[in-house]
Amino acid sequence: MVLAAQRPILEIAGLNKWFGAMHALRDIDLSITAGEKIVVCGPSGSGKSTIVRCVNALERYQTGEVRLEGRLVNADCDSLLSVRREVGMVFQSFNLFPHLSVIDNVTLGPRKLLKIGREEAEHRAMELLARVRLADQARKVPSQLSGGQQQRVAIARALAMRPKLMLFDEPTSALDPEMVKEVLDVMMSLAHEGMTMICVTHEMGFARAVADRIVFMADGAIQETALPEAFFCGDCCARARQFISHVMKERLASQPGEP
Amino acid sequence: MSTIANSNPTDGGPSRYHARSLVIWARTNLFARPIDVILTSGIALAAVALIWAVLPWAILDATWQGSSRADCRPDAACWAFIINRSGQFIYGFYPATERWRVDLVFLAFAAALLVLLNRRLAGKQVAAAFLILVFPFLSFVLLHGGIGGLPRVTTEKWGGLSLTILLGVAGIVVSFPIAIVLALGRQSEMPVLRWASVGYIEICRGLPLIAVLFMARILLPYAFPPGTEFDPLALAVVGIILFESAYLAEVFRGGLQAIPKGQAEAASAIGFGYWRTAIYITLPQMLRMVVPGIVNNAIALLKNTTLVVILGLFEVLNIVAAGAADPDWLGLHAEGYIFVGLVFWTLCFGMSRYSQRLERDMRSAERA
Ligand SMILES: Nc1ncnc2c1ncn2[C@@H]1O[C@H](COP(=O)(O)OP(=O)(O)OP(=O)(O)O)[C@@H](O)[C@H]1O
Ligand SMILES: [Mg+2]
Repeated sequence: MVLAAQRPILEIAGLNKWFGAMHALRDIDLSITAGEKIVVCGPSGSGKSTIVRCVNALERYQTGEVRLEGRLVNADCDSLLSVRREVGMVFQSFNLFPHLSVIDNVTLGPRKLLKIGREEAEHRAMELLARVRLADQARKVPSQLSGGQQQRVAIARALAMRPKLMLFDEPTSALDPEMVKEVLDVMMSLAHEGMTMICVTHEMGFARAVADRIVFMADGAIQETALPEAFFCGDCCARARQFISHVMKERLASQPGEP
Repeated sequence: MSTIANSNPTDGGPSRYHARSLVIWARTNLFARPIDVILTSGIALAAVALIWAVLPWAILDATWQGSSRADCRPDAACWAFIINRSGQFIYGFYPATERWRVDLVFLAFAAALLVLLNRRLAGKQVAAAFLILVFPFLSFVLLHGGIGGLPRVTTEKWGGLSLTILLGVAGIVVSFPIAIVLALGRQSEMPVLRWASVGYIEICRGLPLIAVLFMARILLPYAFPPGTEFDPLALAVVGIILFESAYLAEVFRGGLQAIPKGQAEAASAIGFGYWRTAIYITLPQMLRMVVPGIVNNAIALLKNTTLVVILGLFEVLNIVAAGAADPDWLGLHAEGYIFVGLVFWTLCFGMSRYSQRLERDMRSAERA
């Protein structure tokens, strides 16, 4: 039926998470339909990473639930590993496997988990590397690549598992300014191809261009969920406005330092 | 110095440059200040005097051939003893006609090691699997015999340098997988597993090997019915493995802790569970890091194998000492111990140099 098609791919309901006594996430409700792109922003320590990490159970949460296509996700679920295969994640610090070549980084998951033969896995990996414009770097090891190149390999590695949902946790904030664009370009083309994405990022240009919704967080709670037009026209809560102007100011401050 | 010469190939001929840089190096390092001049010439003089004193005894007047002490000059070294007895020093009391079995075992080991350690050769996984899973059993069957037409050679007959190396290799190879399990267990989230690993490691690490071997010899017979016979070699190997696996486990744990948390997280994010993460991500990275630690342990273990004399086994040190008590060669302790010292030093120095080269290779591979 039509209803089935519109059923959200990811549902987060009443999610609460404590680190010891620290209440890191408060009553988070969020649902995403297939093909939707969500940008999460907010000040440091507001719980953005923690939300994303709860979605593929890198963190254990205490109350509420996270469901991927109806299946419960938490740190000790039976379906945990199969859920993680369907969710791709890109980290701020790349986390490529330093002992493997670029192509092996990309093919390891498909070969060992999806049981795809080496030849086919490498063929698919080369396609993905071409998509992130790194086909010529396939035989290098990660330490021979620049930060921007490493992050694009990390994106290819996540895509190799054919995920239904991609999570990005500040993928560009560890990069030198001149490399940010090459990573954002890849993310944008991914968005245009219809990938469902949750991106934690402070790249407001990217958010404006790609996001279907912008989620603003502070103090472990979602303060505001807005369409990009509304968000950037100041049609939102005072804290979000303050945050936006803060980010913009930082942007301007860093501009003269750029080549 | 050679690196300086290599990096400046345009400056004159390489040999001229090398000689000049040697002079410059000596001037800046050995003769810079008066105190340096005094120290350098003092040490050089002492070295010359030492060589002068030892050379006639050790080389010039030494006897190299002979069948007993009577053939040797009394005032110089009697290397004839070592050469005459070299078969026994290497193979112990292993029958001369069966020594090819020992050679074969060491050839197999050397081949596997070569594949494992040489960067250019493929098949590392096969070699490692062979070394850990097949080699210990294969070598035992071959050395011990008693099946397939091979005459039985009981373990009391094994000895000499081959026993030393056998104990060292068995100690490292068999301890290796045990130590990996212990290191993983120590980091496990399951309390029972963690406590068991910590308990084992701390107990075995706190005991000197000599105490373990004494206990095996003196206490074990009390724990079993009178008349129970224990194979001394089996006791020695078990004692060494108990001891060595605890040490290696700590080396491995150090390596595991040095791997950034993001590595395991990235593996989880792909969908790898505990074992896949360990096998494909954390253990391979850990093993690269701990090569110097493993070599360090192997060196210590090799020297520790001399203690198995407590169980009545004659590895190279004690078989040479016993040889010097033989009426034919009575009293040739100095030659014997110098020989044993050289053997151990060569083995340990070789391992140490190799580990340094490996470290350098890995560092340059990461930077490349
Ligand atoms: N493993 C942890 N143990 C204890 N506290 C933690 C842990 N991880 C995060 N926190 C705390 O939880 C809160 C939310 O952290 P989170 O990393 O989600 O913030 P963030 O919004 O991603 O911030 P940033 O922009 O700096 O990445 C912070 O106050 C942080 O100190
Ligand atoms: Mg964060």
